[in-house]
Amino acid sequence: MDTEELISLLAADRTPPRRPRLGPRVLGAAALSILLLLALWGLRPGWSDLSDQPVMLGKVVWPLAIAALAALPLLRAPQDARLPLWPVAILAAALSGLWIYTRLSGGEIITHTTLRCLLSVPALALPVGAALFSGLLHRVVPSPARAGLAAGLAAGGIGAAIYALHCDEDAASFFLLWYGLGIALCGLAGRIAGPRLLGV
Amino acid sequence: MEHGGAEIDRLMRAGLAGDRAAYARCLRLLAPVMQAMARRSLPVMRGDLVEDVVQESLLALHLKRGSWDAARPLLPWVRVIVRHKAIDALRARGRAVEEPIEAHHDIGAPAVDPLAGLHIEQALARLSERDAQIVRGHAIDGTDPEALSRQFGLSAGALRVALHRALRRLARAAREEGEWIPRN
Repeated sequence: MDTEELISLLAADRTPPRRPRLGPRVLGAAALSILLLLALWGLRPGWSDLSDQPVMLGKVVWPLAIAALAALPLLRAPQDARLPLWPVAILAAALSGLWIYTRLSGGEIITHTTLRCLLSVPALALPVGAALFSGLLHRVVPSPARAGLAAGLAAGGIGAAIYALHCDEDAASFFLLWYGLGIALCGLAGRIAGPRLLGV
Repeated sequence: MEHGGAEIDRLMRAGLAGDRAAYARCLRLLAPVMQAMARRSLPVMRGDLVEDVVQESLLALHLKRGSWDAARPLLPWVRVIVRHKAIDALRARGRAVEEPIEAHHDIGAPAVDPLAGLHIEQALARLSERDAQIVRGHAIDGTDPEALSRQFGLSAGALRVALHRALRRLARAAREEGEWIPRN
């Protein structure tokens, strides 16, 4: 087939162009994850009394901050620009430092919900990650590993923030460690899946 | 170049809005631009890959045109696509060339003659018979869609979907080429 033939073939394809629409996809998937949490995990008791306490807020806010820092370059940066991941790295380093401090101050790290926490974060992140990847499939992704990592971290952050609505472990030494590991697992999964699924 | 870029942008916008003549014209203007970009991205010795890279870039551009940010110029985005397709082509074909034939004494005649035609043509051989016929009917023989619908017993909508799926598979086959040649 010569190039002229290919061009007439492409011009004959009347399927409308697919738009990535990452933002709406992520919002829809996050809503789905929240519904899953309400149905299968349940809100932690006494949510309304606790919601104004700083620890509750902090538990939701820091994973969301990770998600925002990872997702914003995907949502905002032009497709031909290199995705900056250093803001997430700086936040992760700061949080690791904070965790070491809480651990040295004698915080708990192992309780009976450890495993559930570690598995729930990726489970709740899965819809968001799938939504991000399905959008990125329609985009030109020059660095699929980086984009996959960013998408995984964003999904993990949102998953952790949603899981925090259920989790009643309020020790920073616990949730920084296990949420952090859950988010890192999601990032790793995205980093592995990116080059396999995404591309130019 | 600047002027040509603005014209290409305008045509692509019109094409995305549904003007198919403008879209075809846009692709025709883009082909030589892509050729020049591909030539710059490839080593001088691999001029034989230029047309492959252009075709795969056109296919990728077509399948992902919905993600182009119409507020930005098209050509920088096209350059990203072409550069990556050039790297992919070098990687895939480079590896295939280095594969010593002695390591594959058990293979018979290849199902596809590697010298017969361009890369897209080889990828076409991986499509199902019907898909390949639809693609060829459309592209090479220029059969009009109504005749093709009758020939394959498909409604106009189903034919459109079949063509689009065939294009997606074509792109995937072209991308996996480097992995499948040695295994064949």
